[in-house]
Amino acid sequence: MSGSDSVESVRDAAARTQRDRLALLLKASQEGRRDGLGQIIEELTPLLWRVARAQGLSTQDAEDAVQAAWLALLGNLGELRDPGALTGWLLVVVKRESWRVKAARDRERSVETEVLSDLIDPSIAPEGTVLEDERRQAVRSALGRLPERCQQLMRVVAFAHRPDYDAVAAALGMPRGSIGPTRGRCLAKLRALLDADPSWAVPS
Amino acid sequence: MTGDREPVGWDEPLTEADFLLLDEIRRVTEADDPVPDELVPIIRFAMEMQNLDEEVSWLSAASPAPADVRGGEVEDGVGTRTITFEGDGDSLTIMVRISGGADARGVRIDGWLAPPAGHRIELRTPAGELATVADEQGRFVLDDVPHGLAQLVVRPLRGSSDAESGPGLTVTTPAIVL
Repeated sequence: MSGSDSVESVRDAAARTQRDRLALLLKASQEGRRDGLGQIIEELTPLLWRVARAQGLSTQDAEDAVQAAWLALLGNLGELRDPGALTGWLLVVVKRESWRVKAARDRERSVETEVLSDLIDPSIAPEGTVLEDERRQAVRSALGRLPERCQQLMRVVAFAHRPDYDAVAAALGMPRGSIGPTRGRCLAKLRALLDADPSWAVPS
Repeated sequence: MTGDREPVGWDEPLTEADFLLLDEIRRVTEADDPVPDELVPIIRFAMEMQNLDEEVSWLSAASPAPADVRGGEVEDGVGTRTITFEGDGDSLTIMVRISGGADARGVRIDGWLAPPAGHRIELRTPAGELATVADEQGRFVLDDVPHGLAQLVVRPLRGSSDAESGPGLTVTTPAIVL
């Protein structure tokens, strides 16, 4: 019995469902209709938000960059033949827009460009059960100890479906294969850090 | 932890344990830096307003600012915001001052276009559009604007002498919350 196969296919099914929705959406949009736009905006915005924040943008600038990416889509629907390319396309636009916003800033500004790790305080743990707190804190702590680019990759790819992992890595300027189909160095490092943390131990 | 050796298991296929860990990373990251509540509504609003075949030049707020405030935005502590929207190169710049509190009269927007010209100004909101025309100094005013989602659109005058913008090149800002 291949239990991992059956659980993998649940995730892959979710990815396929999203891709089917994208296909319908693109077809409708290319015909001048906007059916289904709302749902796909809800589904993909968290990933785009994460990419913009990973570039070090403030919350307001990240909002504008994500909005710009979606509006750019409307002007370029004809370019997209393959619904599978939509997520990658949006990721590229968000990153380009994020860089554009950053480049427009005064380089002498007194506040340094924030990196994602600065924006998130690893010592803060939200309310929850004690066990949940410890495990969540273990993940937070381990993430914070990863090299910066690995941390970025992990935080962003966590919001994507597996078929989009390559596109996410590319959007972050990481080499192909940084994650998927193999674990990759970043995730392997993270697991090693967690394995060394007693509060991460899986309860029996 | 040595940096000389590859981490164990880096070249093994992803397992369910990896996906569960990624789920946990997603939850942690979302809890620590959530997507702002207004973002999806803003996007849906802006996309509904956008005509699919309209060629639009997109402005964004740009100029130095403290963290967590939109780049071109300044708050003076008395409920007035000033935002500057700029595009690439020689495109239009729009500066707006948004004032007015939570009273019944709503929000007032004072605006300046650069380069100055009497372009048509539209403010799109979920309740409809407000329109006005800038004067030859590029100045415009919109008063009694309802709080909530809004987006500015500038339509150049016909026969504009500005060779860079050209007739018909509409300019729009990101949707914001007034």
